[in-house]
Amino acid sequence: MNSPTTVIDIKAIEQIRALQQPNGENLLGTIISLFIDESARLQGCIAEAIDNSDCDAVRQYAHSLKSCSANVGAVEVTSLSIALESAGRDGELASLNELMSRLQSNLKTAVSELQLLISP
Amino acid sequence: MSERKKTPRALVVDDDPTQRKLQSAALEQAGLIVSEAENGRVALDLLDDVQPTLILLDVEMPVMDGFDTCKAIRQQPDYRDVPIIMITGNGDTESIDKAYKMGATDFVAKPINWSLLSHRARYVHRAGDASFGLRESEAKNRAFIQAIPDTVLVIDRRSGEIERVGGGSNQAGDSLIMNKSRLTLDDLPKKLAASWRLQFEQVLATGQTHRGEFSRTEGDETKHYETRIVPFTANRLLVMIRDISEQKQTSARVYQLAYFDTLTGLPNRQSFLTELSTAIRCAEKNSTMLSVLYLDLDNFKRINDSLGHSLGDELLKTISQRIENCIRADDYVARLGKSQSHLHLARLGGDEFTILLTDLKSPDEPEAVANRITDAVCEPILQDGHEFVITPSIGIANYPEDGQDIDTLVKNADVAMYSAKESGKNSCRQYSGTMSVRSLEHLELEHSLRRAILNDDLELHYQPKLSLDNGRITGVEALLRWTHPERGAVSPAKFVPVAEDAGLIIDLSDWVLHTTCKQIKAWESGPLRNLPIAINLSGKQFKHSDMYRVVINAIQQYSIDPSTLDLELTESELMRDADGTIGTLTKLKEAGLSLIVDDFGTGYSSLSYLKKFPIDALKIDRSFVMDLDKSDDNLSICAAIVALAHSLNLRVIAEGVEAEDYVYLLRQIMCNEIQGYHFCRPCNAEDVARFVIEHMQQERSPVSIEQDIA
Repeated sequence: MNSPTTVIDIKAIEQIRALQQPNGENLLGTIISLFIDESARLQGCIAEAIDNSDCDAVRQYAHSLKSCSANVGAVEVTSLSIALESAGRDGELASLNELMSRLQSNLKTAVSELQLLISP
Repeated sequence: MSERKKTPRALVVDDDPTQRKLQSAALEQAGLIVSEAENGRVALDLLDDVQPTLILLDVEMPVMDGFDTCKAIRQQPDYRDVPIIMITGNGDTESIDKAYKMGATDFVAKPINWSLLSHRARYVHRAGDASFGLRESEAKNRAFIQAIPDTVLVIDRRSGEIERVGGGSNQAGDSLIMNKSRLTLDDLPKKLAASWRLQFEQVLATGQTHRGEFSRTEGDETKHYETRIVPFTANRLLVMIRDISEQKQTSARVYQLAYFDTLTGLPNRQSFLTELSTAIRCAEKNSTMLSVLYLDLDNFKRINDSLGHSLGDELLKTISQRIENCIRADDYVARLGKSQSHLHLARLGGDEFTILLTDLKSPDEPEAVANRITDAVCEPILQDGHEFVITPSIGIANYPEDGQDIDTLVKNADVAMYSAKESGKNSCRQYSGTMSVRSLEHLELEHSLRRAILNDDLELHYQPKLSLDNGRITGVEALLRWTHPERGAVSPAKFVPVAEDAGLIIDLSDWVLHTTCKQIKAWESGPLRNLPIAINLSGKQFKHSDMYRVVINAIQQYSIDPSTLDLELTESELMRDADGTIGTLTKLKEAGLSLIVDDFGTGYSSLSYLKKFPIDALKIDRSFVMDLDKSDDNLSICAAIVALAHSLNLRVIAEGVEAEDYVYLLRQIMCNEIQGYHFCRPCNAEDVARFVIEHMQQERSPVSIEQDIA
């Protein structure tokens, strides 16, 4: 809302804000911090799984990242997670590295966009 | 369940922290307290701590996925019914199907619309609550139906189909319901089904429970069932059947015991009084007449006393049967052709019966009934090889003229009965206001006497006997005295027959025996020790089989010397059952008691028996002593008795000695002892003791002292 963005779906952010309790903690802030930590962890896990050529682990972590990123409206990250999940499921090791590098840059952009949303 | 309502708690299970946080936020907004778990394993561990009332489960999770978690939760009885919402992928119908199979309550597809989730949660939660309540109440009902001893049926009134919904093993109506798998009303007894159908309509129309009963013969017993028909749905009814056979039997037995006489099976006094009370109310309302017949068997107590109660009971049964037969309604109506009077026979107790006639058609009826009963009762009865002729005396009192309440009617019928007895028994009397005061007096005496025995209003007086041989007092005779609180002294000649009639003679004799023993004991430690006291035994008590025991028990109870107790029995009593008496008397004699035949000369003695009786002395009846100085006959009789007695080695005592002249004459004919006013009147224990001690002192001349020592 602070600034128009293309990487973040603002509707998702609006939904989170709608859940904000009047005197509760800053829900959006919490969710975004949780996402930043979790997405970093999952990105690491996926990278490791790719190094190990563990397709099922890739699928599983990508699935988690998919749900997680969708919650904060990081649409590109979500799309790339879906691709990774499906490649993992199908055992397409070849496409994983390329998808992974796109995920890394997109995630970076999304995180900075999100950080902007919660910066005072 | 109420506790659930107070604290709705959700458990959110998802490996994605953002997802968990958002779900929690959504549920908290819906008013739930939320706990989180990052996978199924953690969730299962948290269950008992959290006791969630709603669970949100992600499908895909590491460690343990949503399906396995759902299944595991459902396997725990406490969480079988907790609503579980599965979070599935968008369009993942396979997961949705699987979720339901694993026991999920609902699903929500990602991406989640958070505000919708909060509504969804609230709704699922409420539905879960409701269904939980329903399941709980169903469980309660099941337990309840198991617990009650009833057969519970649901019956469809249109199809007549019967469904057995409950009941444990101990099932009433098992035989009725049988074990058919499919049963309809048509399979039941026609009458029962028809009455149930009617009751169904009524129950459905009014909405009220119908309580009824029915009976059935099952095998060789009659079973009683209670039914409760309760409206269930628009066309179905709940029918509960309970076996109340035992209860019925018990209450019938209680009723039987309370209202019927066990010996004859006739209604008892209580029943009669109830009946009479109703009859009086009815007669009052309809201005009709009723009559109470009071029947008492003449001399029946004598049969009981002399031949034993078991024979008496048999006779009573026969007689009550006869009375019952001759007042049986059909019979009666047939005989009179027209009368519709009602009769109610009851046994009041002992040999007393009442017959209540209601709705009298003619004032002559009671007497006609009484005469028929008299005729029936008087027929000889053959029992145990003896022929008995037992006659009744009947008194009649009519409502309203002879009494308008229970007490007056019964009392006046009783008075009329006594009047019948006095007029020579075996008769019937109608009560009249001028009916002999003596009947009332008799009744009144009986009541007072009972009271006197209870209250110890009786007293013994003692009259000394003097030896004409040595001038000493040989003993005293105990004489019963009763001072009535209003009438003053009542003569034994008056109250002893009353006591005999009323069956009080045994009580009276017991009282005399015990009081005498006490007196002997009291005198034992003083100068009057060894002074025998003679008591008069009633023939009734003598016939009493326990007579020997009764006397010996009393002697032992007071630990007195048996030789200080003399028994006097009249000649006629002795002879009534001479053979039977000898045994008892011999035992008493062997125990150390002395036996004296009283009123000798008035009875009918067989000399051979007299010889066999283990007796010590004869007492000449006062009628022979009375005019001894004027009547040569009496003197001759007395002389003859003395001669007879001496020839049998018996002493002779003359009673009723009133003048010095008698003493002279009696000495002439060698009579051994005298008793009478001339020597000493009967007086109380204290006075007689003083008299005897004085006499002993006067008599103690040096010679007699020497004799004493010798």
